[in-house]
Amino acid sequence: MATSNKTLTPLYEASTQFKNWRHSSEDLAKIRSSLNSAAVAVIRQTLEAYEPGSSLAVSFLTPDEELLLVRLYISKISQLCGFFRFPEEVEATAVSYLKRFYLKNTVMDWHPKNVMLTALFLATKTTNNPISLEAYTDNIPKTAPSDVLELEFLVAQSLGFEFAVWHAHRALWGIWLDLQTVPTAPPDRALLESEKYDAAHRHLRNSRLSDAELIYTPSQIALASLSLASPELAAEWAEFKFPLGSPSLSRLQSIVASIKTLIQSSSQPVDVEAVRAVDLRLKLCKNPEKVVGSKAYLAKKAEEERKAEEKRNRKATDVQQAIAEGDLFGDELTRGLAVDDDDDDD
Amino acid sequence: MSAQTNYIQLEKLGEGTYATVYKGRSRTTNEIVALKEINLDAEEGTPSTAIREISLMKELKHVNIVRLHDVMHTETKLVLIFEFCDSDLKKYMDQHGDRGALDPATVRSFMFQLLKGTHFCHENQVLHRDLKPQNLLINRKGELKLGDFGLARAFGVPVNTFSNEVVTLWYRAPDVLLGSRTYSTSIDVWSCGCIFAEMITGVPLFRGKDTQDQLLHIMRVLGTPSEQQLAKMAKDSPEIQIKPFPRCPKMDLKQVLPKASPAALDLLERLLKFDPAERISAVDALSHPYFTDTVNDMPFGMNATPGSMPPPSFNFPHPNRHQQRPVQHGQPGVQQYSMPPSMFTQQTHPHMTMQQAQQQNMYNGMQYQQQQQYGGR
Repeated sequence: MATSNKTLTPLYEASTQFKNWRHSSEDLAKIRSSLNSAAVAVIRQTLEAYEPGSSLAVSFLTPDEELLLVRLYISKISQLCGFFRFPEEVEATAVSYLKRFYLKNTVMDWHPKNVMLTALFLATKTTNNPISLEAYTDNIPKTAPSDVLELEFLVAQSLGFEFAVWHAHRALWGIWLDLQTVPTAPPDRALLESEKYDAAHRHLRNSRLSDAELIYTPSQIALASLSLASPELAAEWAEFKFPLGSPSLSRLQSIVASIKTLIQSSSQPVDVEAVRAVDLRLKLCKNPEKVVGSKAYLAKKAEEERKAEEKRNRKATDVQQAIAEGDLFGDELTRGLAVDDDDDDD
Repeated sequence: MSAQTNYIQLEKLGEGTYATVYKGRSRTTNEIVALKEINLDAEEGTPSTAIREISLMKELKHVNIVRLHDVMHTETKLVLIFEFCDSDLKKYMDQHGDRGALDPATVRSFMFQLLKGTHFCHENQVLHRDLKPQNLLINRKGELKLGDFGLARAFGVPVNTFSNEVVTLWYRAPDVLLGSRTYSTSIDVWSCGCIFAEMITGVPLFRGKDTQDQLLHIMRVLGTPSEQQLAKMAKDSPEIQIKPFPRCPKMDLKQVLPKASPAALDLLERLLKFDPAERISAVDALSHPYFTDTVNDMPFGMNATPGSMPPPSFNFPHPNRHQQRPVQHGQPGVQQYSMPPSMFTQQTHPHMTMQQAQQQNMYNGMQYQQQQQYGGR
């Protein structure tokens, strides 16, 4: 049935994930390096503004170092989910949120520890596994409810409020069910070959540490995970879905091969020492305007306050003026009443 | 970015389940929108209901579902910016109906749109769970849109158990009234049936005071289900509680809705099955002869009152009304009306925008099929 892509308009293709959260690996590299260089430029400027010459000694993080740090916190999500006994959907969703967040922000602006905690809390809400904030933060050392709440909107906004995520583990389960009903299936496959499914599932969990989900579809990742565990089962499924020798099948096989490489390279344990060194340097190069209580942070706050005040005053004047002119209904078409000419609010 | 700078707040439109809704106007485009203001919880942050609604609305883009344009925030509030609709079905019936009752052509158009929106939700694995006239928004073009997804939920495998405190009592399905927590799409189909009857007669079909009374109202019309039927329902959803009920005979729906056509009554009968397993699905209801057989007996525009357009005639007459098939009766639970795959692609109404046409195509294809080839953009 899946021979022609033209006739198919799967639900997945209507999803925000399909439309907005898939990139090529080159694309990802470009996004990360431009975010990184923009952040470095801003921070350098800020540092200079408060202490001329101070930015010269700072060694900023590279995009790869940022990614390394994010990866470490992805692995922390798994640990926390194990501790809270959250379902897999929560874990997978939080991981996606954290990855997506850092396609819009940099580690130097927002430390992944706090973002990770907020992403996980948000994921419990969006997947319908709510936990009270108190019960959540009480069980995490050195974390207050405000640490999570302060970032909630920022994270939600960075995600574009697109909270629904299609997961590879669901796709893997689907493939596993298919494999029990294919004509070639032995009668007790669900029992006899369950360890193959478990192995595939372990590979799939490893895939979460990689960029796979930002590049490939959930079912492609699922098939690659299965292929790592049992190439025979993966081939059996693919041949059941696609006619042998079809161009789709060979295309699928090459995609699966590249995902397998991706998963294997990400399953190496994170080098904690390397991450620690990066984190240490991050303390020196993070954006001072985002560090609560710092001089730069206070200055930025004061500036925002001033602008808001100005805007309120101007609005009040506009309204009074309109009333004075008997213009109760407003005629914004002819006169730029209350037109927003600020450049800071988009 | 904040809502105040981009939108001018106009009059209050109403209080929702967890929010207040205002009319608003965009400062940049002058577009009229609905601003749904949600207070942030100091303890828990953004309420999960709001998060859930946003999450679902971001994925559900369809002509018959109210569109979420944007999400903004102020210090203490979250503001959802929705497409604006002038009225809701309740108000529409009060204003345009004959003591609430709508003319047959309007009922048919609204019912078709209601089922289309509902089917789209179900296809995307979303239960609305609170369908009622107040939540069905009507715009000037006569388009009906499902709104207020505050109680909606995503469903899927594995089946979760849900709360049974859902759906305003009068539109609540009997299985839910009996305590079912494993309900599915049929819960919305029941509500559609209640709304259908209400549009025809002008008054709510079952007006119970409480859960028990609501069940009695339903049984007085549909008749008390047999022991076997109840036992079967209890087997399907073990959490439901069966108490002894007074024995009511089944009423002829023709007596309850004297104005309804035979086709309308037949559809209603299939929507309002006591046993959820026997209830027709939204997609099958869309191919019922009620929509496919009848020709428009009244030209649209004849009953238009100034300032409002009649409901759109798109999809009417129904594209597959020429392919009449014999209707098989007496096979409960069997899907009797299957939709030809090309149902919407072949005929789109000339007045339909490109976007609407695309949206229709979007869900017209094969079911969920993920192995698309994709190697990167």
